[in-house]
Amino acid sequence: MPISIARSLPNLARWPLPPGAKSLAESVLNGLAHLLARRHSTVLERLADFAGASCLIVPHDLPYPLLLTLQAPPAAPHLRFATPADATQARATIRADMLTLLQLLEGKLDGDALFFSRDLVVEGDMEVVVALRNAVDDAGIDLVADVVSLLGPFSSPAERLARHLISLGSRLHRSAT
Amino acid sequence: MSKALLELVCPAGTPAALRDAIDAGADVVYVGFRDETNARNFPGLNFSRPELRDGIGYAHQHGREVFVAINTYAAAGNQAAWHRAIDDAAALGADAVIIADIGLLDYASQRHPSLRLHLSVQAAASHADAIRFYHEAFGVRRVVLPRVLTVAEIAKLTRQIPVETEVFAFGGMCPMAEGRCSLSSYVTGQSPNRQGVCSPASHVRYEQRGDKLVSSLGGSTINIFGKDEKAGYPTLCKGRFAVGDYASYLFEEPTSLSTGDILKDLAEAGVKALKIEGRQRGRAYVAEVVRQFRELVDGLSAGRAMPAATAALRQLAEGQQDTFGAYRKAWR
Repeated sequence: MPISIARSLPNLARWPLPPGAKSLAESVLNGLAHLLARRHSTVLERLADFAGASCLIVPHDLPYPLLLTLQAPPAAPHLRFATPADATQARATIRADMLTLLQLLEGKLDGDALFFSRDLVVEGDMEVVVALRNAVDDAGIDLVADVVSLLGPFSSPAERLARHLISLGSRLHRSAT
Repeated sequence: MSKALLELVCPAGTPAALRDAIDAGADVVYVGFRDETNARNFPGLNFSRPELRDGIGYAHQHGREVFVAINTYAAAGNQAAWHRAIDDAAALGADAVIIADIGLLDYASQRHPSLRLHLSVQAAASHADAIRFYHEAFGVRRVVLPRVLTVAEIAKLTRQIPVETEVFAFGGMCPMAEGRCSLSSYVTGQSPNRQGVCSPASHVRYEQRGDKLVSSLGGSTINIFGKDEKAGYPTLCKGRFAVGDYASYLFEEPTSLSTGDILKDLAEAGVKALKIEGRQRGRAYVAEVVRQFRELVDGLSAGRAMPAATAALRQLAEGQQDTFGAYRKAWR
């Protein structure tokens, strides 16, 4: 197991979540994984050979690494906060800042180019990393559209509002940096 | 589609990438099935039969074409998967199949006489005698030229052969005799030419050691990238090896081929089509490279002044550096 995988995990100890908040956040994360799997079922098909494999996803600008465990289709992948013990069972680690990871999830950035520039760090078993990248890249995930789809008839106005707020937030962020 | 001087043949490893390539201006998208019959047999990549049917439908709706790469060499005594790939590509309406294996070319020409045959770069046919043979024996109508020829050599060759030529325009820079390279096979036991996997992901490991990135293939260290040094794939041909205290690249550095600045030369050399490498790359790569080459080719066709190939292309290149490769052999 690469040393740096374990090194990334103590962050969790530095920023402990209250038990209730952690449980709630994990429910949201897992719900999101189920939602994406349901709306983008080709992901599961492309990852079918890797059922049981787990992967650490480390947003290095946030204190909470995640553990993604793939399941045999049609079960959705399981997503939860990682613990130090996960460093020994994860087959691979993917590390980048949170925004980059989200853009990779939506296929908006090229993972290889990010790897060349060292903005994306991958370690461990590359077979599962490559399969995950290819499956997600094909899925056409759009986090805003996927999440607001839960609102049924209100999804269209909710999507417009969400995109407006994201655009506003981006402009504010750019002007502040 | 415009009457461009050069046809743009673009990669897609997934249906989403195919649609993005079409939307970005590809004339043709080339793809492979999800097995060892093509030279990008990577986990989670490539097309099922229904996906190819839909992809061809999408391309044809937009007036574009789909080529299917069946460009590995069939296993001795077990050609069934390759024969099935050819049969299915024909049945699903592929506009051409890209093949290297002589036996498969013979099979395709006998079973599917109306199916357009292109000679894969994996055949490493680099001179007129070889290319004429493929044309006369199997009716091959286009050759994808190996990345070993200068522009002047390509110009001479195109005048000598009765088939169209397609050349690599951007992407992975294989410096070896393609279809005959066994470097990766020696280390991993799996062949680029038979199983379709050069440096298979199952044998690749990356490890951060402090600020350094260590890449290895089959347990052998291929490179150690220093802090802030741009990284590359762990292929042996682009490995950096140390003798004593001196480490250097023996064959080629981590770099990508990029021809944006010599498209006019290639068109004047008689080249019919430009191939963008990268079926294993993401949709963002496909969309950006296709969009940029679409602009360059359309600008060339309209007689506009050619802009310099942009920095954005270099950002997508391996090691974030590019080369004209053999097209301009500075070492000669």
